[in-house]
Amino acid sequence: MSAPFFQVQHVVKRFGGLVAVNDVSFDLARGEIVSIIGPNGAGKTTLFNLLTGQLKPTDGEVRLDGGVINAMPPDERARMGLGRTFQIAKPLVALTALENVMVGAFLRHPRLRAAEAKAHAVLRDVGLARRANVRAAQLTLSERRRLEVARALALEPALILLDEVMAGLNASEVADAIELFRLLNERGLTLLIIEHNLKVVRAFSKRVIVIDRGAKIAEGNADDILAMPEVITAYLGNRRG
Amino acid sequence: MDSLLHVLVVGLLLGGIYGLVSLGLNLIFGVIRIVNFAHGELVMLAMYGAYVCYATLGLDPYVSVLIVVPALFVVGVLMHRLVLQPLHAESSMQIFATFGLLILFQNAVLALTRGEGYSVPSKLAATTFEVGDIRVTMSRLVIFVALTLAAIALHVFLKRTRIGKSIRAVTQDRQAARLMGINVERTFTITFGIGAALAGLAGALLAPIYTLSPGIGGNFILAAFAVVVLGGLGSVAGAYFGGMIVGLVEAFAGFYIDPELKQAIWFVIFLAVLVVRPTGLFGQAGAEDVGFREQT
Amino acid sequence: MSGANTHTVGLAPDEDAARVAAEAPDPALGLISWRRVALLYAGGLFLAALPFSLLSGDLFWVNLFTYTYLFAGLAVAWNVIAGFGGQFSLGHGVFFAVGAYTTVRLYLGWQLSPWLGILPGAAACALIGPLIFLPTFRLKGSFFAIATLAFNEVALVMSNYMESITGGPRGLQVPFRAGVANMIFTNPRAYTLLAFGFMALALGVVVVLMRSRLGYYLLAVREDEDAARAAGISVTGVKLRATAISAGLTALGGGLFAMYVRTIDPLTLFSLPDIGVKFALLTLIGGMGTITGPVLGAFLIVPLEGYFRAALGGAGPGVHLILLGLVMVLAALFMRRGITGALDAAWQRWRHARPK
Repeated sequence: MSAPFFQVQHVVKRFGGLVAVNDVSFDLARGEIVSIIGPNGAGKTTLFNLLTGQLKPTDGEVRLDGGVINAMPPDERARMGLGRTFQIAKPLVALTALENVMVGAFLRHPRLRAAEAKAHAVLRDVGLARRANVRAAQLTLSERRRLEVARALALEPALILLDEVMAGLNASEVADAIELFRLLNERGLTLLIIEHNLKVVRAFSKRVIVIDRGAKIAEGNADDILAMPEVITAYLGNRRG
Repeated sequence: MDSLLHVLVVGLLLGGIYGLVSLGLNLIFGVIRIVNFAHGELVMLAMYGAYVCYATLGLDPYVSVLIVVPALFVVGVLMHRLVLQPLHAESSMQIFATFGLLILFQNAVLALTRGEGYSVPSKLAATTFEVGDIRVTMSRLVIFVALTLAAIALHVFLKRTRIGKSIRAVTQDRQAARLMGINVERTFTITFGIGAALAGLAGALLAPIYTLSPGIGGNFILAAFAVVVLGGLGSVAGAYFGGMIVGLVEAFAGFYIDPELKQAIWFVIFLAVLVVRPTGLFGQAGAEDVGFREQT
Repeated sequence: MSGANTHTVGLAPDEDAARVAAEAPDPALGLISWRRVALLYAGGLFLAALPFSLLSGDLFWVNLFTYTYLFAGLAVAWNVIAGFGGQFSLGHGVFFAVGAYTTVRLYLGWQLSPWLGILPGAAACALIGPLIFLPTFRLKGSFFAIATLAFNEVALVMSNYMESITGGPRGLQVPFRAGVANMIFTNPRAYTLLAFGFMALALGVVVVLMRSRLGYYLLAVREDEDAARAAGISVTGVKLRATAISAGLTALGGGLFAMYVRTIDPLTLFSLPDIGVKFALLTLIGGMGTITGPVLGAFLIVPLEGYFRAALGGAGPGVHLILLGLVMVLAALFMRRGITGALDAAWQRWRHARPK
């Protein structure tokens, strides 16, 4: 079997004296859905930023499809097939939903009409088809989340990194989102999700990685993980002073 | 060695002028983040104000400071409340409005004076004395001293008084300041007024040095911005030393390179500082997010 | 068009699946066609030409319209990087001056027809302009503005200094030798047509740009650089290319200006209120980041300024400019989103007031 599709190898991030990410390693195979969970302040966001390219690792390697991407800035990673969403959605407020998604679609479809068509298709997938001409500024939170995902999907990424994309959604919105991601996964998309919502994690329970205080403390399927004493301690235990 | 000393003195005194003019702009730009194109015109209005005091009341310009400075404070407060505060959400429009005010002030004075040049004599200002081989005019020394005193006074004001602390709080973090109960808008207006008052001080003290003309503000505005950026936003020390640096650079460039190019030289340095370190030499916390976009 | 499966999420359970499946993208929800664009473009140009054609008998207005069309084009060019790109430049006077000096120098020194002579200056600005701006791209808002202002001032000083190239403070003069090849006309209306052509060119470029990938990327960069990067956009690359277009067009305008006034000097070319900042003012007043905004701004301010100067010039020095300054301040206060913003707001109010 060839090298795994996405490899995080002994990644470390130090800020001065503070070690935010401490020797984290894991792999993703193509077509997997993996969740990363951990208590607040565990370093998940820092890890995420290392994977998306907003931060460079102090040590270790990140590889996509065999190639080292440590030094690549975020836009180059996006061009290589790594899509991502932002925890606080960043719609392009002066543009319509359609135009927002077209910005993503232009990567693989440089011509105007093709990008437009692609954007329409993606909007349909996320359920925003009828809001295509609405200014992003006027979309609801849940719609902005979906727009965020749509823009990333329009890049036709091989791997998509989702940062707490369920936060603030109601139960039926969450169910829809899970359905959408399952659908995309069936089409071949690999997903790496940071999530707080255990229901979501369970829905995708194939593999869960637990991060605490910058280190990986557990890895396995959701049921096994959530029964582990270390994991329970990390979430409930009184570690801080 | 002699000429070096001479250039040094010229530069420092020139720096005094630049620093004094920039002190107010530094406060305005640093705290409220407004690009006030009309700042040079505020200095100009103060210069003419000193002339009016001289022509109608026979006051020496150094005395007219007592009238001109409060008057400019009022002008600043009005300017901010009526024009700039309403536009706080649209910074491009604010710049546009300050430019409109620039044209308005300049041409109002032009129309009133019908293009006549005035000068404001002052016996004290004209006296000179010798330091070794170098002749120093009292007027420029006064500026230098006034700048130093004003800078110290401003520093103490910002550190010790309640209003001063509000100003500093608002500079660092508007949201947090608001949450702590500080009336941010009123603080801005007061800050603008103080900035204008400092411009008034500069104008009154500069009146004996220059021949007054409505366009004289233009001489200062760009140098003032260069000083503000070099020294660092919201930093009193920054305006002070920034002014010195600009003055020295201009004097040395004028002497050793080419007097024609002296203005270009400090612009180039200003650009270099802006690009490398937009927080300036004495940059304050909170100034970074004004200067830089987010870096990856 | 889609080819993807028609499964959708986010619908209430009782929605008709068949209806959903039949929901092809509504043409009304999509982008307007090139044909519509071309019609709007032609219609707009026709409207812009109308006032001139009506007033072309009066030489005062002919001159005014030449300036109006020329500055409309220059404002449109400025808007590319400033309104659409979010980089508020006050240094475009440099590109303007380079275009002016190059055209005149090539004409005086090598008898090169200005029709060709305007091109090298434009090319130089398109290639080198972005490189000059490059170090300042990471600066935000006001800082970028002041940095570009500094460029303008340095260029002013250098132009005064390099007498052999620019003629120093006296500048360069083009003797009147009429001829189409010389771009010197006896009939002033020819200049108006030339300026109109420039404006049409600038508008055409912008229309094509904003319907292209680069145009969308430019907007994305303006709105949110991080989101743009996440979408695979090279932020610096986009800014460089937009600056190239903006600078090149501005230089073209500078060349035309030089052949119209036939006397250029540093004080005129680098004058902030008349040139460098004027582009910004016209666009701001008309509406930043819109295609028609800069044109509307030019159509308002340039004739107004000319009218004030003619009507009040005798009243005393500076009187007409007092009025202009007042107009500017009032416009800033009451038309914050510019003319296009005010029109848009009025349109929205009218739409919502109509009975359903």
